[in-house]
Amino acid sequence: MATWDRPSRRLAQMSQVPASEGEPHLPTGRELAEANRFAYAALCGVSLSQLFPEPEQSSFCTEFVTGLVKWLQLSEAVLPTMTAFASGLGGEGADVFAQILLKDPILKDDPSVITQDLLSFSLKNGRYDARARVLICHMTSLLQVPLEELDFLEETFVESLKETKEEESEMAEASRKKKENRRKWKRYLLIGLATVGGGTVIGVTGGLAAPLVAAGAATIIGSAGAAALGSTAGIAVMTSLFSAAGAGLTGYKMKKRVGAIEEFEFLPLTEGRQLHITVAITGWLASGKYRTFSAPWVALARSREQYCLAWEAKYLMELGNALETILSGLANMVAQEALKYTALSGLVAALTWPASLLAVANVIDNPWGVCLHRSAEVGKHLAHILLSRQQGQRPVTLIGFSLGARVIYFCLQEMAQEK
Amino acid sequence: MDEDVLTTLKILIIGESGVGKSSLLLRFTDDTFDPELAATIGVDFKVKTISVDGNKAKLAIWDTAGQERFRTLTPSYYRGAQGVILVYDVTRRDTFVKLDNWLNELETYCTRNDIVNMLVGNKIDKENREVDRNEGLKFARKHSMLFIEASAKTCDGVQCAFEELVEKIIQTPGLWESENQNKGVKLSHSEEGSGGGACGGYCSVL
Repeated sequence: MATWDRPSRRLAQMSQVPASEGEPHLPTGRELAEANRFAYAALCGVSLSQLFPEPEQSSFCTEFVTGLVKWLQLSEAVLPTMTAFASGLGGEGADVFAQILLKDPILKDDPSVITQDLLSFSLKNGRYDARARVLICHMTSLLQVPLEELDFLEETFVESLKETKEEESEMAEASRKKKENRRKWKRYLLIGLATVGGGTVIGVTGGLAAPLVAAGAATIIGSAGAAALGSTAGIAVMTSLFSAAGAGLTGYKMKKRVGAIEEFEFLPLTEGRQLHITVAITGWLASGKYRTFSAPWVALARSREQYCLAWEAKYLMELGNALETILSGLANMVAQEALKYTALSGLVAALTWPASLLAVANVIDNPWGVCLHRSAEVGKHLAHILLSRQQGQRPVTLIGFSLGARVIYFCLQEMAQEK
Repeated sequence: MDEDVLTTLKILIIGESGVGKSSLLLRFTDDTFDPELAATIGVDFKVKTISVDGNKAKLAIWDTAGQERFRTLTPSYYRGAQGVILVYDVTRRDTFVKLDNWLNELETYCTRNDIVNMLVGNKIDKENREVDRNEGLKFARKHSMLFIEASAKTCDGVQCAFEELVEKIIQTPGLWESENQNKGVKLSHSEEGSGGGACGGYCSVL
């Protein structure tokens, strides 16, 4: 019975796709005149070489441009030129390319077509490279499109992906079962991650994530942008983009202690899903208003999907208290300083100065030392989680203050070493 | 290898559609000839190192498309060029007549005025010549350009054309030395640009 259902459903999809293509008719990069498609690809190449001049990024730049030439159906003959652009030659002409694009009849009315086209291109393999996003931001501003437009487009993509997920029917049931199976696997992996922690685990996760990308995804997204995502390929892209286990970062919980870390958990700051996420890392906690990890981030609005990292609350709280003690101690000291100028000055100075300094040193020393150490550990652990793509194939922005910034520093360092 | 290269020169090839710009370049860089060469899309790019008077120079040659529909793209390549090769077809008078338009464009878009220009009359292997050698020479003199007649098919004058152009550029020190300085400025500028971009709001990782 299942075998009967399948072809008919596939036929229905086939007839659906051209229909949705015809009705809203989203203009894509491919519909531009050849010269303008050339300018578009060239501008991307030049921008890439400006944004990522480092030699280790050159393979990404070349691959991106080569893919884009195919995507725009430009002749293969332009490849050497595009590669030259991507390797930093001919950058003088960038503004001319931008001007040419802005004069294009399609782009004149709606320059965000390029943003959308680049977004579809970048997502076609079911992953969203952070570098691609940087390029899209850059191109968007070159074409004088407000960056909010990009946010809006990303949201549209997520919405259309969501719709396809809700449509999930008997046909997708098999794949879901597979996914559940995988979820079980994932749990093992997480435990493995917490105990082993290192390169081997990342290798395994990478291999698991790969088959999720259906071969047809590229063609389906490509033809009509966001509108044509009504298929199982859409689900595959969705799963790949938003982490395989479905639960994402919030689902991540340490089953076991990793090294010296006692607490490590992602708390959602905002409801919603987006193509890029933000992880905020708090530097210290204090009694009162800033008691919780999320408190400092209430005004954070970088993306619709934001998390904050809860780590070592006990020690961060101690640190915060210590800081408070110091602050009040400072007030005390100021008062004592003032006393110095009174008749009692000699007495106060002789007795209290060294004692208060000593006290301060004691108060700060312990929690600070512990937090300093833990922040490095947490940073490394965060690096492994990000590298194993718990967040899905999406760009991540890390924001942190104080020791949170230290976490980020160690996270980046660890990631650089792993790669 | 790059260390003994004196300088990198940007050379531009312009001219009407079908006069043989790409063929000249192909003959020069790869020493091949393809009578059925497809029209260039946008621009083609090739690098070749040549040595003139014991000086090695790396040539970055931009071969523009002559077709009208790609004309809008051409202005983007003039910037920073030290040498321009202007090509016409000796068997097609119309390509010679239109040289004035190309010179106008050159004047409009070139960023420097001491740029070295060279006029090349291509396809001299063909029988039905419409433009006399003297006419070409006169035109080149009038606009103070170098002049040579060549054939990409028989390899006549091709190497010579590029060598002479490079020699002239190297003899004009202000031309390529200032370009080297420009490069230094450019480099810091691009760094500045990317740094600014990172601060401007996107420092995503992964």
